Amino acid sequence: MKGYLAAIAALVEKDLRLEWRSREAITSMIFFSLLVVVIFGFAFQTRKIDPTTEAPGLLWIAFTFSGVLGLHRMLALERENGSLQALLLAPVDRGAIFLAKVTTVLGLILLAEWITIPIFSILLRVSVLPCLLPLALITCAGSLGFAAVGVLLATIASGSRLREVLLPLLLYPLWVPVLVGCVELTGLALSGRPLKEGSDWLVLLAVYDVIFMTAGTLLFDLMLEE
Amino acid sequence: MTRNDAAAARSMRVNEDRPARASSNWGRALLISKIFDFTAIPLILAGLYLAFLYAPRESTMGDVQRIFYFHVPFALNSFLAFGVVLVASIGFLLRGKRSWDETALAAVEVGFLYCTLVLLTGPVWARSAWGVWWTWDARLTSTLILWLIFASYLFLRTYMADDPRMRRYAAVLGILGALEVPIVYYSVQWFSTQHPTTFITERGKLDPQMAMVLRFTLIAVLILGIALFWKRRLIGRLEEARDRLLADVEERELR
Repeated sequence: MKGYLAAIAALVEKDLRLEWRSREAITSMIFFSLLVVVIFGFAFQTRKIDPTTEAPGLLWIAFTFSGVLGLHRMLALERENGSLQALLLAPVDRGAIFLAKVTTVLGLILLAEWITIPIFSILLRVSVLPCLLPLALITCAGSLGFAAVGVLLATIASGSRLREVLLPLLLYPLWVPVLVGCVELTGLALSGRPLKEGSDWLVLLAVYDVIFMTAGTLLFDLMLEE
Repeated sequence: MTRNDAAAARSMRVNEDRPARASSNWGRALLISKIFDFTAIPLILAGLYLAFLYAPRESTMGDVQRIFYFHVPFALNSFLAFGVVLVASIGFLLRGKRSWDETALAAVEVGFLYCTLVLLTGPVWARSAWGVWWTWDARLTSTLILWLIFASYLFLRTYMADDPRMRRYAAVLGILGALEVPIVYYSVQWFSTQHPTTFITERGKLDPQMAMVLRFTLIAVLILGIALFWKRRLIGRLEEARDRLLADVEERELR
């Protein structure tokens, strides 16, 4: 167990160090979320965004798109010089590789999201200060599910010539229930109501996260068998 | 005779009796396919008769309610197809035999067809009962997501080269998709408690004549599904045989 965790930590450290040196994924993700928010700002220019109905949807559209961008970067990184093959040769449990990838992607996505939220709040005049804690909880729960399913499907998509097209096609249908839950919960948070009112959705997010983390850890090994 | 020649002769012999064995199996498989076809066609015709002429006219919804006799069976059977996809995909990942993968693919294709038919027949009824073609109601939404997952599975198979890796990836996607079904189902139930809508399948109130027709079309659609599934499996077997032959030819050319 200790070795397992150490392996995960080492892999995460490797990925984060690579990312720190180039900072390609994180800057493109943040910039892309920013662009989505700005484009929405222009599209809805004439009127104020409603914080309970439109704002949550808008925010999660930005997260959904920029998340895929992060997954693409992660893929490209592993494809260069056949480093995924090298990684698979390492004497490490494949489940640990999966968990490490999910941790890295989750970290990047959360960072991008937490930088997007204040920008979003300022540009679209939606107040987020009173509900920062609930928002942090929702983004964590939602993004964990996104990262788990995303890493699995990004690995699958990397087998295709049309990987950039294939990944969103595979990912979005599986991501829909979490998206609905996140949007509902964010709506509650932004309108200042307690998250308890949406406890069903919190359970859904938790169940989804547990199921897909478990499935991913088990399937990753079978999937990459050569 | 050198050792190589002996090995070649042995492999020739193996190759020669393989087609013979395959063809006897093939004949049986073809016969079963024909039996399913000739059961499914009259059953569907009888089902159409029962649904549109025999079943009593529903008092509030009128004739448009008759669409349920096919809408509901398509929906239930597409769920069943997803169950088959789950089992076959797990089977393929554990055993690695190509027939498991072909089974999953055949089930996806039939399930996708049925799911499409559900989404096409539903709005026809909804337009007359609710006044709109589509609402974001619980069942409609979950069926749409199911359809999208089936579609993405087919996209994966067309966008990737046909090799063992693609089959493993498809199996993983099949499992993920099947895991998603209960989640979607429960999530949209909460969705529906927040947006109450009228539901139609209240079994208890069903007139016995209507129930009989529904049970009949359920079986008819199931048999049709099996017939289509079987045909798709036959195509899969032909493809498998073709790939084996191509591999054999390649091997001999190399020698």
